[in-house]
Amino acid sequence: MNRRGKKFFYLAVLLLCAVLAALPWIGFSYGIVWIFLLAVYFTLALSYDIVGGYMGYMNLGHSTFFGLGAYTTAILLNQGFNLFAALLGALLLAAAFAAVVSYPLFRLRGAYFALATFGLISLIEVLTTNLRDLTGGSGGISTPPGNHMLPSYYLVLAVAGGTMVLSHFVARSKFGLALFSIREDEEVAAAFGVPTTLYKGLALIISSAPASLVGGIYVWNMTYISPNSVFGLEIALSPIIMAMLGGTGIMIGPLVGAIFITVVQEFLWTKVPYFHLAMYGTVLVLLGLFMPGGLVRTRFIKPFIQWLGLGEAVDYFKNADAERIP
Amino acid sequence: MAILLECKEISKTFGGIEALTHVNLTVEANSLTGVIGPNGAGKTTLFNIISGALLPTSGEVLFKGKKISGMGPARVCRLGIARTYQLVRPFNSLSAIENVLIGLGFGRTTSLSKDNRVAEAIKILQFVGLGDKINHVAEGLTLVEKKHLEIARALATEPEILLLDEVVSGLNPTEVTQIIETIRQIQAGGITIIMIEHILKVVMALCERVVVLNYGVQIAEGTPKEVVSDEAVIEAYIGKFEDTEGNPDA
Repeated sequence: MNRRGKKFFYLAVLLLCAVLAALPWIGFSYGIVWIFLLAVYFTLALSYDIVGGYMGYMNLGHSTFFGLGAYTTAILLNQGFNLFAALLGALLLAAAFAAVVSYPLFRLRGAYFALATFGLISLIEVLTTNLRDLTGGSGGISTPPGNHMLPSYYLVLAVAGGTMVLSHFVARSKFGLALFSIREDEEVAAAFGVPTTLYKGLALIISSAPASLVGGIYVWNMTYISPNSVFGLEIALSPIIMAMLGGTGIMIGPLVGAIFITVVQEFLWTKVPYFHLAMYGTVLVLLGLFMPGGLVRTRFIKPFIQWLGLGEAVDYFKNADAERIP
Repeated sequence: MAILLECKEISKTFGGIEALTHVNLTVEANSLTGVIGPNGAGKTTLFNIISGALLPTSGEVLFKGKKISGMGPARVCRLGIARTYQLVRPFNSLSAIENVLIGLGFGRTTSLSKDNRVAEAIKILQFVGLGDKINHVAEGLTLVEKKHLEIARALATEPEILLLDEVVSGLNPTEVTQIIETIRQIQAGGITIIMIEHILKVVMALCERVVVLNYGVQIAEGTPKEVVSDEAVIEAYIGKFEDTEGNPDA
């Protein structure tokens, strides 16, 4: 990043933070709900990208962690725990779940891995519909009522910011470099001493944490969830579409994709309800065919992103001369 | 001299195909051993078994007297055996230096700080002649540069044994001379080298001992001079001598 770009970038980030923090106080209530959901989806997309983009394993079941986090938080809140204890419980349960499933799942690769992870969602959904005493079954579960819009708005923004920091540091660490090497050629990575099984498991655990947290905050805000609302297709696929549309394996990608999709969806929703779901499928197919690198790698946007210094997908060794977007 | 690596009665079958049958290989410290043989002789399979990528069907590999077959490639690498690939396999979207940093970060010396690793990586890249390409993405390098990058990545793990799988295939004579020089320097630095090679000029120039495989069977072993005049080897390469026009150099 050149100096002008750096200055501009920090200024923009500062300005964005100020605007986001001030929004609730200038009577922009619909916008807050909208940004809340945007941040939820963005966090899911970005945390998906640690496994899906950095490591190259398409984890279609990423929303399982979201759903697990939501249900755990709801159950713990109903047991009388405070929010932070409940969120911690959700985080730990999702991480433990990720650790357990990582062993069998990461024996698979490519499309087989994607399909198996997609199956995880149904597995947990069936569990939640049938463990009626614990989860309320298909009728869903309610949490203690109350208007939590404002605190959950700030909380989810904090988690989104934290996920960005996490993603940034993962990309710059030796661990992140190992994830990139697994994406490029797992066999060779292992032949050069990368403990692939361990690192793949760790990556899944790390990516599960933000997803479970936003799940918890989501249910705290909404005060009601059903198996369909947290294990549905929309919450499963839209973060992945966002990451892929923006560009995987690079932090700015999911951000661009999340904003783009939520804005488009907002317009579509008012014109033709549920049409956005059909759009997701179409976008996914077209992306694979014409724009596998995502928006940030297109000819028009790439130079701008690089000027901002955000084009470095692999950040382990920083150098201004490097043309990094592959 | 001390024996560094020992392959004892290695056999490997893929389904019904016997890729290797009772192969024995003994490698002394700081020697340069060549493995030659026609296509499909099992040379690369032997490398895959030594480096831990494949398990032998029977037999075992000993490194410094310790059994390493069954440990898995990552642990074998950390013990000090590094390799390159016949068809180059660099981490394509990573830069040259990041390729080398993988070796440095996960090979034998993992205790270096990040700054020291970067300094070391630049040194290694300069050694193989990629000093001006450290930030280039591996995908964009030429074949000879990729081969040098693979050597650099292997050296970065600080190996005691370096397995080179046909490093000169596909290169022009000038580039071949360059790589031969690099290999000589690596050996002079105290690293034991085992190389698979098709080009006899390279084998004759570099190797102290040569092992010849044919259809998975070890058919000859000795100095390069002995091996090329061995009848079984000549037969494996060009068929039986039947007329006097045959070329004894082949």
